[in-house]
Formats: sequence, structure tokens, C-alpha cells
Amino acid sequence: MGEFQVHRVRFFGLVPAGVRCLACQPRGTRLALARTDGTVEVYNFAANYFQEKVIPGHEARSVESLCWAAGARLFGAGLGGDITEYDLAGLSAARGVDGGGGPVWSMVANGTGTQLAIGCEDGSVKIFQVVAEGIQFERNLDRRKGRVLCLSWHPSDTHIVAGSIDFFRVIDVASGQTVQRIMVNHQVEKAKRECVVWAIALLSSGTVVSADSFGRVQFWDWQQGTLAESCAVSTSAVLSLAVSEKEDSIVVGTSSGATYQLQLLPVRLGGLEKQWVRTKVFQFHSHDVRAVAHSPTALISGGLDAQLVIRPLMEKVQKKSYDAVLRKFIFPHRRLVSCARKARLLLFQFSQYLELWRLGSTEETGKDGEVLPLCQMPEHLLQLKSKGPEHIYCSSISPCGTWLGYSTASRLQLYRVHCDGDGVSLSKVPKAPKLLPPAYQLQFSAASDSLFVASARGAVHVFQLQEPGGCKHLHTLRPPSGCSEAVYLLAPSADGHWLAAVSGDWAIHVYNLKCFKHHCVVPSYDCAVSALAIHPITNNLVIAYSDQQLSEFSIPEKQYTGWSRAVQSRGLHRVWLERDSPITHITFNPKNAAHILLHDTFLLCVLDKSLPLPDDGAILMNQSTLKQLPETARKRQLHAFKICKKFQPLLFMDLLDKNCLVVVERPIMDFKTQLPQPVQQKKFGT
Amino acid sequence: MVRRRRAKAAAAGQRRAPAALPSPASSSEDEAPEEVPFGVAREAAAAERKLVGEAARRHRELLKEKRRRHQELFAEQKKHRLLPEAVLQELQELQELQELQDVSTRPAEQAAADDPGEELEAGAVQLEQGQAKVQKKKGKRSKGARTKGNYVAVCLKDHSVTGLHQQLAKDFLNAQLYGPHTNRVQANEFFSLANKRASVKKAAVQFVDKSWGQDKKEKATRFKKRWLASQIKNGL
Repeated sequence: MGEFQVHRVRFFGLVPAGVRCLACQPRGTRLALARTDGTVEVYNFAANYFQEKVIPGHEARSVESLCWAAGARLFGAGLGGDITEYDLAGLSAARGVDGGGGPVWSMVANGTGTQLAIGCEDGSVKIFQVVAEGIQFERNLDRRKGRVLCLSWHPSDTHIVAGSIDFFRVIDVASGQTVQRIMVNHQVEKAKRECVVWAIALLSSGTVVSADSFGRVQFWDWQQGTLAESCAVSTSAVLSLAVSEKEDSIVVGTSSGATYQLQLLPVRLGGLEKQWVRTKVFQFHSHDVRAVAHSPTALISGGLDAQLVIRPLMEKVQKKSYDAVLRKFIFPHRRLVSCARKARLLLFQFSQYLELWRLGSTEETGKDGEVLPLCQMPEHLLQLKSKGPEHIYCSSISPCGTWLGYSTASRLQLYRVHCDGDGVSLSKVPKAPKLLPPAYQLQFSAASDSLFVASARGAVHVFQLQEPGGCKHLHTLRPPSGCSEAVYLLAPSADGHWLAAVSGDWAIHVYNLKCFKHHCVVPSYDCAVSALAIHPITNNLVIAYSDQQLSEFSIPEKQYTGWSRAVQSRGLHRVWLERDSPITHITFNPKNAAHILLHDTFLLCVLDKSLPLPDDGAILMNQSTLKQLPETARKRQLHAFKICKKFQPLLFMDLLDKNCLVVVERPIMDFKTQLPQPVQQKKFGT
Repeated sequence: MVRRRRAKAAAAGQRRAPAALPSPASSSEDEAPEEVPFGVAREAAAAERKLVGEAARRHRELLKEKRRRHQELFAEQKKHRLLPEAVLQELQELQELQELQDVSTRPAEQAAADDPGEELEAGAVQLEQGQAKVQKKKGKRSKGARTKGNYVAVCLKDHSVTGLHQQLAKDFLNAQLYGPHTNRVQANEFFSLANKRASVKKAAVQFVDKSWGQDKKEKATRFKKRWLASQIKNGL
């Protein structure tokens, strides 16, 4: 692998936003997630839990609940009082309708997905009809005093239960009248505060399950108005609840970060009478768990510590494979850092501003593992705030470091960066490209003379950058057979001849930039692409898929390379395939054509194509053993994957020049102290 | 409650003067009623009437004051609402004045036709920002060439009430999740527990993380500089 000087960057102050609500697509394999800053993400379970869509947030938008309706349409509602439909193909908040009742606390879709019920601040429950163009107000149900914090439909759509403060009520949908009102604040000894019902569910047997702020999960028979069972699950509030489709298992999340599973089990083995029992306890989060979901095979929880945890249930998993493993996601599955290699600049993308840093330098050399003293410290050059309340979709800096661009939902801004001596100044490019915003990905060409903008419907716009500070639209590249989804990844070649673009339907198109024509399509593979790059010398397109597969496609020859075929026929090593996070960046070594450098959140790898591939029996991460072996023995055990796990969690890795790497880490403890206060956990002996 | 009041009055009466009228509640024993001269009784009645009259007058004054204040508030609100209209009125007058002047500048109107489009767009953009104010933009003014329809006055959606609702909702959420009863703890304490209970004991997060307590460190350095300077000055 050789010796590298590593710039270990830990000054990227990213604080991921906490998870606020989750929604599993019924009869589907997608999970929608909304964060406290208004970002909405969609995870695809079939593609190895890949974060396939991200809709950035908005300063004024708060999402309190999400739901899927009418198949694949996603709706969200929040404290702003609006119900928004999210356009998943165009990655934006499409249509908004005012709920009309003040802030909306919860929203649920009925069993068939044709109606939405919202619970508002003024105590009303409103029903909306889902139509093709959006949603339409249908009627108001009975309104009572007290904000409606949670709602649930009966599976047969006949009744709705609405949870409020100190009570919950059951409403008959057909007549719109409240048929039962049950107080939940009895039996709370000495507490002078109100009992808030944070989550509620109505089962098909007529049982109402309520989770309240005293840490209890209670089961009620609403027709009799009696309490059937009460489980005091925790001392802190129970904030979220989700019921499985078969209604035999419930998962709840509490304020202290613990999630509990309650199951309906027979009292006596083989008997008929069943009882709800608290079975499993998990402490995956350090902060409040405000969202839980129950998929057919897993318990999913999202907390204010920005973690999404997917815990497969062992009894539901058919075969013992990597599917049964606990998955935790904190960082996004896309790049938030851009690097200008020649100028040694790093551009960090935050949700509402960008930061430009210059890397430090050192004169010393040292041995393996030594920390070298810096002669010049890394400099924070500037902070660029985005105009307006919208969050940033994408940003990029050119390789020479003189052009900088970012895009929000309504504008695309381009700047020229002037580094004179000590100071840095920005000048805005006046006639920024006027095209339909937003731009989902920005990429500058290697020679910094063109800008590629990924747009909706599979289109890529090519702009020519003119010297003093201007840009001109050259051409729009479109896939020949049309596409409804947006392009989310771009990869230009180093010689400026080719451009590869991946759109939301996972089709990779390669365009010829000299004549602006579509060149070819990479044979389709049934999984999302997480990273791609074009080799500077051989013009091979290296693709990393979200299920950890790798392939190499030769663009001039329009077919997979021999090495790629060897990898496919041999199969990748089991440990490589069982990694938790996708590859987010691929880069190359200009001095050695056989090297491919890739990284995911927990490792960085130098792939040497000239070395043999490891078989399943060999150890994949053998760098430490290789160091200790003598030269001859080492040659026998060398294989293509040279992995380093020293830098974790990794947000970005790039090769600056011949033997200089930059790695951007974000240690988890560094941002956990900036999150809202957690609940005290009393431990014995402290 | 009535009995208490009477008893209190009786006690007060007894403290005040022996010539006050006895109350029915106190005369529970079998005694002949006290003899009270007529003049004293008349004075007592007059005093009581005066007191009651004063109380009633004060009450009336209070109501009047309240009513006056309400009227003022309504008048203020009304004025507030009327102000934009006043401005529009003025503009209307100005426009009429201008109209009389430029009857002949017909072609200038064509050029100004696409200005309203621009204004509307700007208006639409402002709508997104959601500021509750009346927006108007004057078109270009050449000497005497101001034409009709050069600007559009747009009244934007009033977001003040929704903002208030949202703030109330957020306050409720904050109070419920982070209120005094929720047993929350500082991040330092929470994460230091893990450091101290681990097999390899480490310092608390506050000491390990150098970015904490920055303001305290800065204050300390400033104080040190000042103190040293004062010491040097005193020494000299």
C-alpha cells in the first residue's frame, strides 16, 4: 500500500438532527423518516437499508407525523398547521393544504389509504380525502376541548381513538360523534401534573392501547370503559408506540432511550387465554425515543440522538444470515464534504451554511503510527450562509478551489473564490444558471471548466464556466427512454470526455461530452448505487452498490472489464458483504493505475487490482498480521483488499497527492454533548 | 359565610363603641335587648349608608375606567387597521392627479405592461417568506410618464396568529418533555458516568473535551492579564 501522511480532520462540526417520526410503508419495503429539522428521508429495506431519498428541511417546517397513503404517496403534517405531500420523484415538498385547526399533532391514514385523519391543537379531528391531485377536506368530527396528541383508526375504519391530555375518546366515524370518553389520570399517586397520552392504538379486538407520560402502557376495553391491564413500563414518559400488523406485538419507546416490546402470550402454555406481557428491553439510544415502528420482521426505533436502529426479531427471521443483525444508522449515506485537491481546501456542507477550510501542513516525517507536529494549523477560511429558510441540497467545490456552488430548493448559487495571501474573498457569479430548481447534485469537471448539475427527470445540465466569473448553459443531457426520477449521483471523467449519471430508478447512463450524446447504459442491477467514479487513465467506471457489490464497467468498450467479471464469478469476501454502511466515495491514485480507494463509515480500503482476490477462507483485514510477517511470507498472504479501520466514524476520505490522504472523522461523543438533555439514568454505586 | 360576616361585624362593633347595634347572631342568650339612644342609632345608620354609597361609587368608577380603556384599545386597533388604507387613499389621489397630467402617454403603458408581471412574481416570492405586511412597489417614474397599473398592492397572508399557535404548541412540548418533573441531567454528568464505570476509568467528559468551558477560560486569561498589568503598575 505504501506510506501515507494522513490529515486527520476532526473539525467538521456536524450535529445530525434527531429522528422525530417514522412510517413504514404498508405492504412495502420502504421506511419514511422525518427529523426535527424538517428533513424527510426514505430508506429502502430491500436495498440493504440504503437511504435512497433525502428531502432537505425548511426553517419554518416542523414535521410531527408522517404517513403513507394510497400506495406510495407520502404525507406529512406539523406544528405549522399544514398537511404537505412530498414528491418523492422530485425530492421536494410538493403540495400543502392548511389543516384549519392550528398546529397538527398527529396524522394517520385509514386501512385502505384513501382517507387521512388529523388531530389538531384546538381539539378537533378532521378527515381529509386523498384524491389524485392532492387532498381534499371532507368533514370535521366531534370537537372537544383539549389538544389531540395522537390518533388511531380501527382496522375496519369504523372508529377513531383520539388521545389528549388526561383523557382519550373514541369517535364513531360514520356519525362523527364521540361515543366514549375515558379518563386516564386516576391512580397517579401524589403527582400534581397532568397525564399526557403520547401515543395510542386501537386494535381490531376493540382494545385501546395507550402510552402516557407517567411511563405506563395501559390496555382498555373502550365499550365497557374499563381498564383491562396496566404495565408500568418505565419511570420516564412513554413517548411512542407501534403495533405489528398481526396485533400480537407492540413496541414502545420511552424518554430515557429504552425501547420495550410487549407481546400477547398465552397465560398457560397451550391455553386459550392471552395476556400482554412485557418481554424485551433494549437500550440502544441515549436520548428520547420519539418514534418507533413495527415491521413484519423487525423493531425500528429512532431517537433524538439521531440514531435509527433496526432490530430484527429472531423468531421472525427465516435463515441465519446478515439480515438478522442489529443495524444502526447515524450519518447520512451520501457525501457532505467536498475536497479541492490542488488547493488543499475542504468544503463542509451543513443544513443552512457551508464552511471552507484550508488544511494544515507539516514538514516532518515519521514512522508508522506517529503523530507529526503541524507547522501550519488548519484554517477556517469562511462560512457561507445560505439565503432564505430552506436547507441546502448539495454543494461542491472545483478541484482547483476557485469555484464554489450550492443549491437549495429554490435557488442555485455559484461563487468565485479568491485566495489572496492570507485572506479569502467570495464573489457571486451574477447570472447564475436559471433552471428549474433544485439541483440534486453539483459536480465540477476535473479541469474546472464545466459545471454539471443533476436535475429532475433524469436530466443533467452542462454549464461552461467562463473566466472572470460567468457561466453559460451548454447542453441538457437526457436519458433516451425518459425517466421520472431525479439524478442523484454524477461522475465526470478526468479528461472531460465522459459523464456518468445515476437516477432514482437505479439506471446508470453514460454520456459523451464531446458530442453531447448518450453513449450507453450500464446493464441494470437490482440495487441502489451508493458511489461511482471514472478512472482517470483507463476510463473504467467503478460502481459500488448499496448491497456492497463492486463492479467495473469499461466505458470505451461498453462492457464489464475482466477484473469485474472475475470479482462477480469469485464473489466478494463474506466479511466485505457483511458491512453495515455503504461506500460513499471512490477515488483513484494518479500514480498507480491499479489502485482504487474507497471508504464507508467504518473503514477505508485501497483495492489493488493487480493482486489476487481473497477467498472466503482468508482473513480480509490482514494488514496488522502482514506487518509482522517477513517479506516472503507476506507475498503469499497479500490480497487485493487493504483495509484500515483506524479512523472511525469516517465521513470522507480522499487522496490529495502521491502519499497524502485526508480523512474527515466525526467522533460520536463530539456531537452527543450538543444534543438536548437526556434523562438521568441512576446507576448503582454512582 | 353570612354568619361569619355578621360575627365579624359584631366583633368590630364591640371594639368600636359600645353604642353600636347588636347583631342577631350574638344575641343568642336570653337577655333583654340593650337600650340604645335614637341619636346613636341614627349616626350608625348614616355612617353605614355613606360607606355603602362610597363603595358603590368606587365600583362605578372602576367600571367606567375599564370601559374607557377598552374603547381606547379598540380605537387604537381600528386606527392600526386603517393606516394602510390611508396610504392607499393618498396614492389614489396622487394617481388621479397624475392621470390628469399624462393623457397622451399611451405607448408608455405598453412598456409598463410587463412590470405588473414582475411585481406579481415578487409578490409571490414575498408570500413564500410569509411576512404579514402590505407590499407595494412603484414602477419606474419618468418625468410625467407615470401611467396607470404601474404597481400592484398585494396583501399577504397573515401569519401572526399561526405563529402564536405554533409557539404555544412548542412551549407545551418543551414543558412536558423538559419541564421540572422530567428528571433531566446535564450531558456532562450523563456521559461521564460511562467513563467512570468503564473498566478503564477515564476523566469526566468536561475535562476531556477541550471545547467546554471556553468562556470561563477566556475570562480567566483576561483577568490574569489585567491583574499582571495592575501588579506591574503597582510595582513600578
